[in-house]
Amino acid sequence: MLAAGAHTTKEKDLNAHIEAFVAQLKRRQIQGSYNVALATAQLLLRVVSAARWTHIDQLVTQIKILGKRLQGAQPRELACGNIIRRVLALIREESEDTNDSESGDGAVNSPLITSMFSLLSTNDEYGPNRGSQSLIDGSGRSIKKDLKPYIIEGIQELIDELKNIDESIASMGVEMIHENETILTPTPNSRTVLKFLLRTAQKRKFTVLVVEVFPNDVEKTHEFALKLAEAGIETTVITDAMVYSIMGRVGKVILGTHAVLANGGLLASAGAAMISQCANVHRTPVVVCTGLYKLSPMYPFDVESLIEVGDTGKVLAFEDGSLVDKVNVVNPLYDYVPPESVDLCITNMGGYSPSFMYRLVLDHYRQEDVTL
Amino acid sequence: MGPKKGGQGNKAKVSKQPSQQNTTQDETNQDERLQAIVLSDSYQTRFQPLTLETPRCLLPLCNTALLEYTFEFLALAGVSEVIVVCCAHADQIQEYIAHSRWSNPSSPFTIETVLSPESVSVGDAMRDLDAKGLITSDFLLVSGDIVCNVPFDKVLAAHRERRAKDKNAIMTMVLREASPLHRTRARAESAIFVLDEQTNQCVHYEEIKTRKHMQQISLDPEIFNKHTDLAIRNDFIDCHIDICSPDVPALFTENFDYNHIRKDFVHGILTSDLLGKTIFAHIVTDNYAARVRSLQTYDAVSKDVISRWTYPITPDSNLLADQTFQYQRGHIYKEEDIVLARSCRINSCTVIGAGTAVDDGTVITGSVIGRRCKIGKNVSITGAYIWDDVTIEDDAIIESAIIANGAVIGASSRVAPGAIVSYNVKIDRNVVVDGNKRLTRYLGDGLKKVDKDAVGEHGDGYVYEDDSEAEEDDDYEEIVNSSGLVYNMASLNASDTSFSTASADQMHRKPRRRRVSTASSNTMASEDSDEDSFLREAQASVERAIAENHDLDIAALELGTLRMAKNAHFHDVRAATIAALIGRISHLVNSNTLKARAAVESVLNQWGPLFRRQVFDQADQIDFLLLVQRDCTRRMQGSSILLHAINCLYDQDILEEDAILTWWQDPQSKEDADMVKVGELVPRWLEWLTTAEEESDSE
Repeated sequence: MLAAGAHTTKEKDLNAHIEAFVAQLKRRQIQGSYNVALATAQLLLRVVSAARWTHIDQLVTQIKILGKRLQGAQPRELACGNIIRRVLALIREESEDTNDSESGDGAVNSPLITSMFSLLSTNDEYGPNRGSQSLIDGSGRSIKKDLKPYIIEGIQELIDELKNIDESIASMGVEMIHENETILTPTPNSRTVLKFLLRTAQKRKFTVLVVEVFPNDVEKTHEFALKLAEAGIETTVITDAMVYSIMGRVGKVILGTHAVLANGGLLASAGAAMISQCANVHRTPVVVCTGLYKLSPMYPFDVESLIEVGDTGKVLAFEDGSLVDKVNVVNPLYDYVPPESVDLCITNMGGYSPSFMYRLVLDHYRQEDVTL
Repeated sequence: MGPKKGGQGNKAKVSKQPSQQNTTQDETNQDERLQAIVLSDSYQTRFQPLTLETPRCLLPLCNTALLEYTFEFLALAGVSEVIVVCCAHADQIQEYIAHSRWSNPSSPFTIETVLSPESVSVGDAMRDLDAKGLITSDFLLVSGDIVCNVPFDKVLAAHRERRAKDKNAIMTMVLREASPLHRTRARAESAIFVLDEQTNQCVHYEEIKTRKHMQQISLDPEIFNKHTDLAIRNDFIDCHIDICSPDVPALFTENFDYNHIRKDFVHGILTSDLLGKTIFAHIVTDNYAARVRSLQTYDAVSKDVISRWTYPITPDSNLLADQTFQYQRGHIYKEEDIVLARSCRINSCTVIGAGTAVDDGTVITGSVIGRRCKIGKNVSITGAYIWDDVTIEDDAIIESAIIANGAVIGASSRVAPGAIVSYNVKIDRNVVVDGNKRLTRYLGDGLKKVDKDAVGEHGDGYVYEDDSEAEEDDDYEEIVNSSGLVYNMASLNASDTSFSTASADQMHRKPRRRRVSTASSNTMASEDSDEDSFLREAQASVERAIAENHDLDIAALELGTLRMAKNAHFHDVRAATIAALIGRISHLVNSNTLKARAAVESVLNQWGPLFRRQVFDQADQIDFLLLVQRDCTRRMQGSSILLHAINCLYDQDILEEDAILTWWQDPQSKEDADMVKVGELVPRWLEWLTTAEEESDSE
């Protein structure tokens, strides 16, 4: 597969880059679904531009193998897998498009049979007709195009989508938040929620209660509250224990999330499940702001295996020797919020009910890529 | 020092560029490249016999070599060039590094190994480095056995800022706060740091010697003139992560007798007036930093890694490419491809490596199991560290021990807490391996015979004895001894608690003479041992007086002198005297020479007056009575000795009636079962006392 020769140094370079990226993921030097998604997309861009294939399936397997490695580095960060599946879907789509256009255009001699052939023949035999090889024989025929630029363009679009995702979500804020409404948010580490609120504040006047998510996000809560306050929003930081008592006065709960699963359930920062339950009791609507890149085709059969367990030292001070020895501390970073607790998911594609999420999954991912 | 230093500084070595580096780091660190020196050798023998065959830094901690944790930390710290200094087992270390991912182009730093085969201490290694001229700028000095997840940029920035201001700030030590009896602190090595509170400048360093009496540290009065706020602290885990300037190796070369980086170097630099160099400390309050420096810390750091204090450096981040650990609730980490029988039980805080099979009825709790181990039926493994390829046959019991690669534990055998079973040792069926035994098969010097007592009829291996101990200087020996001893966590913890409570309740009973500002029980510990020694000596002195029939005055004088010399409290003097006298009485009683009453009278009539010079007011009398009572709990016929002693001393007017009554009402006199039991005869006597009183009143 590797053409060797002149390209080996470049290959090595890329391999080293991938390894370094895996190591960074393992060290949690890249963290947070947005950062991971963006970095993965950029890596895939490099991989695809460097990759050489004779048949599109080779590229697909190549990326699948890479995807498995990246997933393994931070198995509980679903955004990485999502981006890889998006790119795979994109590649498949491009290749099918060319198939279609090819068959629709010139081929008089029954396209159906060629596609039947393609079912039975091996990749190598099939190969020379496709991909980069087509440059050689395709001097006159524009139909047998090289897929690479299209795929690269697709990934580039994906990266742009990622970068602008918060904007498109934020623009929906005006429809969601009423004048003088009280908003409660327990996910201060979400950029999406921050932008959503800031943007809405330009048009509406409302109050935000920020829950101090002890122990993992306390500092971020304060930063978050400060930013809101600087934008002129009336902001109050409350402790986690206060949520239930204050819920009666809250108009909407706005959640940021770490990932959205295929059933519409969420993985959000620890504490979110309790707060959404509490909101359900008070019949307070729970609105989730999420980019589509967080939407994962995974189904939460085993919730525990999806939840990352973080630094114990945040819960219990390590210097307290007498306790460290005797207490077993677990610090889960995320909560699973069941779809029943969520009323609306606002994505960059618009607002959807959690029960509709499966449909978005089908639109964006291919069934064959769900297991990498 | 001038010429030497100049020579060093000018030797701007062109360091080779790393072939690959991740782009972000490359840009920021271009001009501030950071070197790291990893000392792969510990220059210690605490892990023997394990380290006879493998260097310490390659011993597995949670199934990953210790060196990996160090490199991972260096990668996290943004180091760009690593120099590993190898001494013992250099070939193994070189081979390991050559085959590790750190030699790949994707490694975040370049790595180089330097042989320093003659070095026998950190000092030697540093002198060697200086001679080779490998160091070009400020560098990070670590040993190959640290586990740390401290984000280093802040530490480094602080150090660089200080350096820019003052060229003489040659070193920054990274210290992690931790309570004095923290499990991750090496018990044998602790130290007092005297720091300037504002700048964290370290102005004095003193090692605490646990076995020796250390009553005081001497500080140069000059220090108090220079610094307004001083903190004297010993609540640090000092894992020997230092940022050093190139001056440091040069200073080692100049002072050829410096061996130890802390004991000699830091202490020496700070006490020397001539050099004018300063050393700073960086105190870390979040995150994790520790060093595996003894078996006890091996145990503690393993537990810390398993319970995720070191996040993200945990087993499930699969540091090595071929690892496949997955996390499960209750801190259980399992690799793929393990076979667990349906009825076996895996309890919390356990790590199990790939290819391991666990049979029916086996219970594993809080342990680390390596790869390809075979564990039989109904085995019980608690708190043990079992490395790769170990076979454990049915019904064996293993507690808090280290079982190294390839060892075989026979059926129904028991390995007691604290034992070490080194590589390929075979233990036969039904053998009990004691906690203090270290078994090995390594036949390094002089072929050793298989020790059938230790390993059984069909076993293989012999008991390892550390011969080198005798040759070492005595505080070295102390460390070696205590490291072996403290591995036995269970018994150690018990002794720790009794230790600290003892010092705590003495705290409120008597005023402390000198209080170190952040005195924690480690300083007290050293004083405690001091008090212990006083008690021993005073008791011996009284016993000698009795045995040799000295004059009462001479005995009292001797006690007085001793008290002055040791600066002991009267409480201790009383305790010692009581221990000696009651000991004498009970000896007389037990040997049937005299009846209890006669024995008490004969001894106390002669020696009781000693107490006149020890017991002054009513509080003293109560304290005295409590001591007598406590002492009697240890004696045969304690209750009658107590009764007669009180009676006798009452007659001698040493004890007053009020004091006795108050003592009897004091809750401390009935605080536990022993105390109550020994006091069972007292009420009758008190009754007599009060009636006698009334009679005399009515008269």
